[in-house]
Parts: sequence; C-alpha cells; structure tokens
Amino acid sequence: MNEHEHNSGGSFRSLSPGQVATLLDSITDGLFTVDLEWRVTWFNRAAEQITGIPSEEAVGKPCCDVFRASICEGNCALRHTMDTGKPISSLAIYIINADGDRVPISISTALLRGGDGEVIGGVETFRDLSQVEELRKEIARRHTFADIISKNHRMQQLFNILPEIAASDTTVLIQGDSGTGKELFARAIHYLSPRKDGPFVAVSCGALPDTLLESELFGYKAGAFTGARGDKPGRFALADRGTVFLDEIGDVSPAMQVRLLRVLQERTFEPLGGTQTVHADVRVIAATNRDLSEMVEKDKFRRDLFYRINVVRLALPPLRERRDDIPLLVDHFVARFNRLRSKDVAGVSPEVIAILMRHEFPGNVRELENIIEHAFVLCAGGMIEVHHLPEELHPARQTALPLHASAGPAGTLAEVERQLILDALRRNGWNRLAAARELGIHKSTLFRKVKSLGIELPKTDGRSSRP
Amino acid sequence: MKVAVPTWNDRISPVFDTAQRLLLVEFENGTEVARAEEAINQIPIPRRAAALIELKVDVLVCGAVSRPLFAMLSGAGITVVPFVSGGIDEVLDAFIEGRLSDPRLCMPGCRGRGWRRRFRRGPQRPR
Repeated sequence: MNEHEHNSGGSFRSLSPGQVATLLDSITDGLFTVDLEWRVTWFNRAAEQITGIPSEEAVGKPCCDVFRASICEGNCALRHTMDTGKPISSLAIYIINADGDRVPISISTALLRGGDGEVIGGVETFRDLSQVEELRKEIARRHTFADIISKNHRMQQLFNILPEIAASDTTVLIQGDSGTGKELFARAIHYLSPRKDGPFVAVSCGALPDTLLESELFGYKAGAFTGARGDKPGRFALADRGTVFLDEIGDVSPAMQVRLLRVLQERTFEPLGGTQTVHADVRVIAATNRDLSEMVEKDKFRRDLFYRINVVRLALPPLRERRDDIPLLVDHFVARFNRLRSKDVAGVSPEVIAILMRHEFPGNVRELENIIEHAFVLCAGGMIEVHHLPEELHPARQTALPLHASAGPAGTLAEVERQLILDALRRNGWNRLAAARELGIHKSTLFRKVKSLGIELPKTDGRSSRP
Repeated sequence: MKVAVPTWNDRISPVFDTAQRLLLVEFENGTEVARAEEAINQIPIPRRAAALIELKVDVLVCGAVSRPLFAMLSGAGITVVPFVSGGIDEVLDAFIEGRLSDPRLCMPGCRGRGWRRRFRRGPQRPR
C-alpha cells in the first residue's frame, strides 16, 4: 500500500460509519464497492441516480447485474484492477440504466483494502457523461451506427447490408429525400469500415459555385490565382485514408462531373495551379435527393459518372413511409434534448403522438427533430402537449388541410371515416392500438367504428409485430 | 419454439447490446429438443434483430437491453423478456415453468418498470 492510500485510510478510520455514509452520499460521482465475490457492498446516492437502481436492491447482487456496463463481458476494468493491482482512470464506456437508456459514463477503479492492508475488494467511481457526450456529438457530428434509430422493416434491411457495404471499400450512392439521414448513414458506413481511424470529410456540393467547389475539393497551390498566397489542401487530400462524403452530388455542374469522374476512375487529382498529380487514397460516398437515373436519361448527369458512383445504392425511405418509427424517434429526441437543454421533459402526450402520426413530414426526420426542439423551448417540464407544437400542427390548422391524399375526395361522412380508419390500420400493419393512437381516438372507439362501418379486419391483428 | 439466451460464464449476459455468445434452445411441447451456441460478437447492434430472425428465434430472454434495440427486436416480431438475471439453467427452468417474473430473477431496479413489466406478466409457455 502506498503512503497516500495509507493516509486516506487512516483519516477514514477516525470517522464513524454514519459519517462515512454521509460523505460518500454527498459526492456527485457515482460510487460502488464490491467484495472479493464481486457482490456490491456499497452503492452511493449518485450511483442510485445515474443507474436508476435503489441502493437496497443493488447491495448483495453481482456487480455486473447492477452496473450493466458495455465492458462487463470481457473487458471489466475492475477485474483488471483486482488482477493487476493497477487503478484505471477516466475510461469512457456506457451502462444500461433501469429505464433501458444507454448512459455514457467515465469510470475509475481502485483496490479496496481493509484495516491491515489486505485487499478486501474493489471500488469503482463513475461520472454521468450524457450531456457531455451529446454536446460532443453535436459539435463533432460523430454519430455512429448505433445512433440510427429504427424498427421499420425497410430500414432493418438496410442495417443488414450496412456492415458488408462498409467493409467492402466500394463507392456508395445514398438516395433519399432531405432529412432522411443520408449523412448519418454515410458516417455509419465510415465508422464501420476499415477506414474508421481516418478522417470523414463531408462536402455539400450543391452549396458551392464551380470554381469554389474545385478548390475546395482538390485544393490549390500558392499563386494559382490572385490571393492564393499559400498552398491549401483540398478535401480529397484532407480525407487521405478516410472517406469523402459528397452530398448533393446531383447538383454539380457538367464540368465538375468530369473532374470527379477522373478521381473515381484513376484515384488521382491535381490541385489548382499544381503540376504534380496527387494520389487519392479515399473512399467516396455520394448522396443526393434527386433521381440520378432520370437525370442521366435527360442528359443532366453523366452516365459514366453515374455508373461509377452507383456501385452500391442505398435508398432511404421518407419518414411518412416508416411511421412506425415516429414514437421511437420522438422518444430518442426527447431524451437527447433533455440532455442538451438540462430539462426533464417526460415525453409527449397521446394527442401529440396522434398529430405526429398523421403528419406527412415533408422534411422527414429532421423536421420531426425540429418539432421536438420547438416544443422544448415552450415546454418547461412534464409532458409536451399540443400547444407546445409549432402552430401549423395545431388541430385547428390541421383540419383545414387534407390529412392525406386518399382522404381527399369527400364522400359521405361515413365513407370518409371508413377510409381514414382503413388507411390508419393499413399503415400500422393492422395493429388496432397503434391505429387508434394515430387517429387520436380510444381503441374501444376504434373497435366500435370498425364494427359499425363494416370494416373487415384480417385474422392476424398486427400485435405480434409491435412492442 | 426457439428461445435465445445470451450467455456469459454460465449466467445470462448482463447486457444484450454487447453480448458475445448466444445459447439457442429449441422446445417442443415444453421439452427441450435441441441446444446450440452461436457467436454474436461480430454483429453490430442495429443488425442484432435481423440476426435473431435469421436464427429463427421466437423468444429472447436477456439481461439489460437498450430501448432502441428492444424496439427493433419487438418490431421484428421477437418476444423479448428483458432484465432477467441468473444462471442459465435456472432461467430456462423458470421459462418453461412460467416463473420468469420471480423477483429473484429480475435485475436490480427493474421490478415493476412499466416498459418491460408487460412482457413478464403470466407464464411464457413454450408452444
């Protein structure tokens, strides 16, 4: 035992057990101790708050069942300390709390010694990094595969092929409407790929005029043009051994298309004003919200470039075609903004969910995120209610708008009602509860209407496909 | 009916999101007819639901599981019984006898939590 440990142990011995308990409960970091059998012997108040587990339920249980950390299986930090005697400090991991949330934390470990210096167990302290992690992601935009939230079957099919696509190093084209998460998928591919330790460099091709885009992508040499005093590396050079994400590729001019084709074909480029050819060791992921094959037919996009980037194509469905993800995404954004804004919003009311399930979301997931962010400004705590939503989503405004195309041609009230219910049931895989939620009515009301309107339901009721 | 249980040191793996091995047990009329093990350490989280579907899993009895993964598994039609702890054999016995709601098999802090309680109600009788 070193002098520091001995001294701190000595001063603790002068405290009564009650004083030690008060002391440990007063610190803001979570702390637990284990005995040599890996059973929790102490669990302080901050540990209760971070994990959501009361101390009386934690004490006496195996620490892995209490702590539920990403490293319990295989790389347990406390086991390392117990085996080697060496403490570990500030290791970033995550735990699953009692609500099922993934909570990022940093942990430190040390041996726990008895009065005569023998090892009697281990101690682990941990700090909740939820807010820090959310801010870090916000700044670095370093979202990973695990950040893509979906239970929709079309998205699941994409998840299935993503690891193979990532491993292949091939050029990928991601197609999807604005706000469907094209960049999130591009980042996921990068961070799953062997190039994950290299840089991920995103360029929005549509935002820049040709001359700027050229110098942005390929860089320039000193003296290439007036004002070019020094060399400036382009995005392709900056992304060396990493990935270049070319967003809005459908918006680049025919001249730029030729230059991009050369990079993709020969993996070389020349900076503006440069004489030497530079080798580009980059993977290219392109994305667009346009139909490139149609643009090729209309001679607005080079066919040869299209074939070069269309090696593997991922088509991201718009949010209106994966409405089953809306409650899950709402949950995710509420948790995220709670962390970012240090708020304690419990969730959204059933009426809000009903409105969101009916909304067409032309701006897709980003629009949903903005709606929740808007609600967070107005909602101080508790549930997000209808009046917290942007005005255009308020029911008074919504009824003035057609709910969706199929409800357009008005027949009798009963016909319109029948059509609305049928559409909601179909969209929700014949799950009555989900359809009722979407329609903003109680499930008994839905059953009554299904019966009175003579709607025939399939034998399977869709419950098995929902949580 | 095929039941999957993530395992670690002969116990239920504490976190399904990072579990490395899966025990697959097949039941017919309440009797175990086959048992196999599968490595899942290379399967990233968003692919885990699809991987279980490929393995023809009907029920997943697991320890802690993050909510997004839980939703993906349920959305894929898999019945998930989360936050279970204990030795593999005692958990499988409890599953057959419909005793998974036994508090001794619940992970600390998870008794009576709404979002998972409904999956413990009543016995889980194998078909």
